[in-house]
Amino acid sequence: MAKIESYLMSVISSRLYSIGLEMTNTLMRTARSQLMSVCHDLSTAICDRNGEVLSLAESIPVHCANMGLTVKPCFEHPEGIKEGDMFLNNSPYRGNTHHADYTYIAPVFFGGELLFFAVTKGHQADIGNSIPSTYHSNAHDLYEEGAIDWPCIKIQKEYKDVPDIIAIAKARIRVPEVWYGDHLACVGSARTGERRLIELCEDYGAELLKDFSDAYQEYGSKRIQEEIRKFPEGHWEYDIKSDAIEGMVDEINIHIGCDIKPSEGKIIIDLRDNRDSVPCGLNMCEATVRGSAITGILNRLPSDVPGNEGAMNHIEVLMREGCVVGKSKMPYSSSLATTNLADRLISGVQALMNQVTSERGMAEGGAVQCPAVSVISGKDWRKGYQPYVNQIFLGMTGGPGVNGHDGWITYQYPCTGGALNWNSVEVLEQQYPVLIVEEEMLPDSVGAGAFDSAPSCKFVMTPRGEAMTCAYSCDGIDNPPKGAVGGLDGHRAAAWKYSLPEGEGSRADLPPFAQPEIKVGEAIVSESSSGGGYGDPKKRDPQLVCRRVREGWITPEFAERVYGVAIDMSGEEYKVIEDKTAELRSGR
Amino acid sequence: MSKYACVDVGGTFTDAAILETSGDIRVFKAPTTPGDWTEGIINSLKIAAGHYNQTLAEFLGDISVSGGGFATHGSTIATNAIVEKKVGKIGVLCTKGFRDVFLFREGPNKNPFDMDLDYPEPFVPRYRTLPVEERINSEGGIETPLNEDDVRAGIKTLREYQVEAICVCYLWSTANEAHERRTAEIIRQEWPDVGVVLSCEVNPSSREYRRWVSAAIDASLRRLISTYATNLNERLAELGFKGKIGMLNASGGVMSAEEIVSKPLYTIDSGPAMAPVAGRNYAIGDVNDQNAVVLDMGGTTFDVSCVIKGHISVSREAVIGDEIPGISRVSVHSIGAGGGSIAWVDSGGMIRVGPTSAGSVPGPACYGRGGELPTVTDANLVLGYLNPDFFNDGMMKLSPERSTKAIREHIADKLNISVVEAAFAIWATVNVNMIAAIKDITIWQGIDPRSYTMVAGGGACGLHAIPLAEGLEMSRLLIPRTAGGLSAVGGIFTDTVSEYNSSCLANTRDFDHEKVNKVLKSLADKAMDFFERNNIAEPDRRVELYMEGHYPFQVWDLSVDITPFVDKDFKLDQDSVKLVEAAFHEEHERTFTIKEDANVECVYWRVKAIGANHVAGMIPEQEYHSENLIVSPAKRTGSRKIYFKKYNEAIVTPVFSGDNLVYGDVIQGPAIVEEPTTTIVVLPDYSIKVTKYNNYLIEGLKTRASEQ
Repeated sequence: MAKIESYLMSVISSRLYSIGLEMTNTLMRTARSQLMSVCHDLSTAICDRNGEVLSLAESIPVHCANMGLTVKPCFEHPEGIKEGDMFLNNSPYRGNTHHADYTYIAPVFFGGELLFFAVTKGHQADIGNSIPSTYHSNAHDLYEEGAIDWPCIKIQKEYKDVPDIIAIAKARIRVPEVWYGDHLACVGSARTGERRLIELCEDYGAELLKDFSDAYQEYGSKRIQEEIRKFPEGHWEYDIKSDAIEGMVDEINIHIGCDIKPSEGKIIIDLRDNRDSVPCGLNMCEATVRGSAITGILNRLPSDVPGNEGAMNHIEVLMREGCVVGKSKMPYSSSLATTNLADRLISGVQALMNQVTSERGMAEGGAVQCPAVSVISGKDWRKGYQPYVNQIFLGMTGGPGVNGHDGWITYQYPCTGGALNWNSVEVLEQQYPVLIVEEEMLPDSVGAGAFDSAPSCKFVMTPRGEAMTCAYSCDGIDNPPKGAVGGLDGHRAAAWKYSLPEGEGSRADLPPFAQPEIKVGEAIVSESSSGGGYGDPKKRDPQLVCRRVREGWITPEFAERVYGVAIDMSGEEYKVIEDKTAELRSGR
Repeated sequence: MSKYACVDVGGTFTDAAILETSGDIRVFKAPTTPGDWTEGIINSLKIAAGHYNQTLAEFLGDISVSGGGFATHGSTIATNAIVEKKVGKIGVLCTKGFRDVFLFREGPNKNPFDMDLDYPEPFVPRYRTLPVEERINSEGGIETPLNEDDVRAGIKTLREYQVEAICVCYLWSTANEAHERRTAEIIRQEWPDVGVVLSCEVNPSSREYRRWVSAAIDASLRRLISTYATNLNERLAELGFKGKIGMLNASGGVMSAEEIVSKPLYTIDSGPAMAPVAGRNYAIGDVNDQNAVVLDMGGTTFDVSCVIKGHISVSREAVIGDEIPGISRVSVHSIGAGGGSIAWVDSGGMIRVGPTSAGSVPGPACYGRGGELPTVTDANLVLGYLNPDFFNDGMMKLSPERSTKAIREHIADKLNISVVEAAFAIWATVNVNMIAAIKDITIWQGIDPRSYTMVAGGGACGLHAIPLAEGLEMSRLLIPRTAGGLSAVGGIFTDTVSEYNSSCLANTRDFDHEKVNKVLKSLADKAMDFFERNNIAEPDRRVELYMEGHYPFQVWDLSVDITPFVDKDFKLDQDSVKLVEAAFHEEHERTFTIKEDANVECVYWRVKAIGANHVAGMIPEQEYHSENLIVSPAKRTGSRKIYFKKYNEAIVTPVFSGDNLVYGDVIQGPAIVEEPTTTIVVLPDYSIKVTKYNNYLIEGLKTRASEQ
């Protein structure tokens, strides 16, 4: 940072942070899609003149370290990049995450020179898929998926909409008003960023900001190298498996290779030795492979490493075109590129790191998406049979055991890391004609360890008045998340239904990837998978075991069998029976 | 002469603000005494009595009991008890299948990359959260009748555990209270001595977690707060106080101790809630502005709040410990930035400030109490902004040598820059951190601060206020003389306030007038009862009514003032519903820049009963001495060498004592103004004016150059 005075580093980086915040806020407060306005499934970034991420507002992990990939195709646009342009890229084949994430990119010019890009990404309510869901796990290819693919095109020129593009979108999307509202929200967000960045240029001038950009990338680079230097040199491997989609694809194994070169300040993740793309919506793409692999590493680093390319470029991700965890290729579908395999890849990389270091050690996170996070659709008889379709976020826990801490309960997805909100039962029941029968943790469902994972959640829901469709993609039934460093595996996920009058005895299992119709009088049951435990359960603090028994998370039998801890339950306060515990633990 | 008093118990200091009927207002500070808060309160009053040359008994005897009289608050007490998990032992009866509402909450906020933390335990242990078979649906219909055997079994178990109170938390009790009410009856039959708290009473909002945890917090605080209030009253009475204490509440008002003891949840975080009350008074009085951003920078935290069109902005998102009870509370955004914030250099070579604070022990390096790390106060001292011999009214001496050493070792040498450059970088960094915090709260509320007045309070704010105003492009900055005790001062000016609310779902498209008007009537009755109980005279009574609602499928509610739309009997007719809808569209557009052509789902109705306080009117305007640029050295108390970025060196700068300055005086920067509890740095090219209410005003700030 030779050229920039110390105080200016703070001043300008803080200005960038506030600009990102303002962009995020503009989007959240004006978006129609619940995924953006409520669940924070959105991200904003400021890229430098080379399209490299300079500053990333707090965003969800699967959007990190890949915004630059989404911006780069702007440079290949046949008309070039002009002031007043607004690019739209939602193509997983051209650097974006998946079709549901629309990325709006505003180039920022000052004195005729391109200096920055203001970038806004958000999960849309509908994208014209062949089914009313923005995820289509069972689509054989892009055509069956049905989304419109926007391969980094100009949706605005000279600050005005390109009418033909708008017309095409409105003709193809189920809820054109909602779509256009979200378009305005995204444009508003990116243009706000553009305006504020121009003001920044007016204050400091182009030359100083170019120097700053370079110095700030260098700052990120120094920060992460310091961390990488703490790791040993070597080569490690890890495998992680996701469930089959019956009749479509077999189990998918992800093989991860990792080389750490502390002297060069580099980590290389190699994913080339994996199978080719598969005929369903699970294929990952360049952006999500990079984002997920890097997230797995970042989960093991201090959380304040800057999210810029200067730092991220020290983690190299090797991938292959046409690979299920690589650069996706037309016409394979990447409808679920941000979840499922992405979640497994994050878990795999963070767990691989247990061979490298015990610092911030972590087991695999819960597999996703059980019926408790379904896209539900139907008609609401209470509101004149008005149709509804939306994703709900309840009953999925998933936090893995971590060296030093039990799993985070409302972790939900490895790719969101606990950043999403958890819906209120009453708000949900007021908005949709459903009744939640139960939402409680399942006893004895933790991935046990010296540090347990979060327990699984049992979630039971029934439609009121009219049948309801629940679309989900429930991984983790056959391949529960694995424990680490002696920790046990997590609890298996489950999806089933039963008849309310007959009770749970009438259980009928549901397929893991499906969109079943649930009739009135039936209830759908979701059991989330739990993450793996970390460390030997026999070494878990007996007092903590005792507290979990007292709180009903685990039974006394489980405590004895798994942790070797005997509990005296005679009084209000439960106590560890010390001698029996010592005996149980020594006789292993 | 009679006096008004308000005591604010802060984390470090207990402040007593005293207003004489002459209009003279002063702040006195004593260290806070955790464990026995009363001690610190009495000490601050002793210091005050000394200033007025009175014995403590004489002084306390003079304190007026009219209009709120002696106000104090339990905020630190309640908040600390929750954070330290030292609340009363309670039990919960809840809807079967939902024992983990206290665990899941709404998904506690978390940085997605930070895994190095424990998930917060539920507010009420799960073994004392017992299931009862029953279920009401969203329209209030009974899906499953109440299983009274479950209730009795639950009471029996909780009796074995000897809980202080039983809290009843059922789903949709806001739509139908029958099951919670019947459960309360059974509890009173089975165990008459135990306290009973119903979720449909404390905070009847239709988000089960918020409603339930509100009830649980309330139940667990009752004994604690009532003991505290009784003790304080008795101690003060023994010492000569003739009135009764009032207590401040989270919505920025004062309540009698009896009122607050019956809903202790509302004492939570009431301290910071008072700063905007003071800020509003100053902004309206001195510059006639109804819009203000109010800052309070102390030793460890920096608080920001807003006044919009004369209303202090409130929010339901306040986090207390690990919980969000969702009660409407004055919206205060807080970050760890204060005089004690520690500066450090990260592994990439960037200077960072906070969030770690040296607190008051060991404190900044310059305190000489064993602190060796450089803090914001040390930077201010090295730059010459603070006077080593005049800190906290001269009660404490500071050591510039220790500051220099700390900054050299921990910052300057690491970056190979001079100590002064390093100190300036610390100062500039904490400034941008605070600017980001202010942007945070204003951006999220849809406020453009440029047209607002900044009111800068807190002991440390005067040192940073000008660059903050510049960074936000705010052109008007007001620094009260009593900046050091802004919250305590706010307590003196505050009205007597209580709030009541009710959930009642109604759509503006097919509005159920009968149902809603019944709810409004019951809220109005509660407000009238409150006025009667507290002997508030007819002309001083004011009632404000708010509706909270959303567009269909929105999840977050927006609050709208609908007071103008109800008739004198608190009824909404056909036309007034249209006005409510229009007001919602307007507020939605103001906050979110857009409005929709849609009907509005009204969810929540809230009444604010206000007994007006006339104390502010007692403060007279000062005598005008004509606009008078101070050039003669007569009013100076001295000068010292001070660093300014503009000159890039320390230059000899005049220092003024606030006591010498009167209405109309203007001082040209660079200059320093020293007040007993705050110091103001007037940067080059600025001038500061003494206002008609004896505060300091800076106008015509430059824009967008935060590195001054």
